[in-house]
Amino acid sequence: MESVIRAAAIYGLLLMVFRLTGNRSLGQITTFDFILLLIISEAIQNGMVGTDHSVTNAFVLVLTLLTFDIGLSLLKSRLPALERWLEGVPLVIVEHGHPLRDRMQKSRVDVSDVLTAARKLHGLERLDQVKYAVLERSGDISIIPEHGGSDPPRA
Amino acid sequence: MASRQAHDLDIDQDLAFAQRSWRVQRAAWLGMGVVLLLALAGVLGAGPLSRSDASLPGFLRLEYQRFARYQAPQALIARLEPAATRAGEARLWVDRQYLDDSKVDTITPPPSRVEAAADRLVYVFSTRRPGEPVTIVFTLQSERIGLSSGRVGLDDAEGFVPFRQFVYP
Repeated sequence: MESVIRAAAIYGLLLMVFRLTGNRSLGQITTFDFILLLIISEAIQNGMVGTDHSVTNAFVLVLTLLTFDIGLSLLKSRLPALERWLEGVPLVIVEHGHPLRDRMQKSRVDVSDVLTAARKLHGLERLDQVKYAVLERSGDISIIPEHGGSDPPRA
Repeated sequence: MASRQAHDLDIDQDLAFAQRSWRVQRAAWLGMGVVLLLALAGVLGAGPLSRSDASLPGFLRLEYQRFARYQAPQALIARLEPAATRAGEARLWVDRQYLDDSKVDTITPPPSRVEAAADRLVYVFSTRRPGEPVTIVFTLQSERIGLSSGRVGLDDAEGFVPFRQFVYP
């Protein structure tokens, strides 16, 4: 009984904390982010496992976590509002080469992040070659390049 | 704020929602900071705000943690005044209910014997010289989550020291 409650509590807590700290936190994962993740899992582990190191306990914990995950995904497909709160909404952060500063600042993304994504995904050189940059719900930045001539910039 | 612009991107962007979620996020960061400060102060476990004491004047002073955590070590310190020892013995009792909800790891100094009664355990300590104050430290772990209360007293004195602590999960 206790392991189910423990796992459920940890699941809820992590879901809340990670959503509230923002998408950006683990979207573009750096080496340090990765280390941080490992440390977080280490910190959580003892609280979740407690003093019971049996295989049954481990099994119940895994089962609880997965069941909650499936349950939540079913719930999200039924309730779009819940999905928005849990996953956020995509956001256009660069429009026709113009960075939308306020949005970028609020979502803790800067121009250099956009340029990094532009270089990586499309081999673009400058910001004005970016038609749209979208901060996706996963925290990734997707880039739609400006095609020379086919769709001239408006601004 | 940038206005909603007509663009050819098929995207379910919702600026009003994004604004709202940023506000919630900012508030949550503040909340996380507050929780951190509370934890530092000892509201979530050991710390300055958690330290507390109660006493039976002239006989006994008890130091305990107001906030403890489930299955985490904590100390219960009983400082006995000279009047609390008699004939080379100090007889300190702890109520049974509290002991049922905790696991006693160590008692320093170890009692020379323990006597069981219906509602309490009496720990008997040998003292070297009469008229000396004695300090007894119980290290224990709470085995029950929530508010718990205990009583500590002396066999040779009227009254007892009540204390309450909250055990976090």
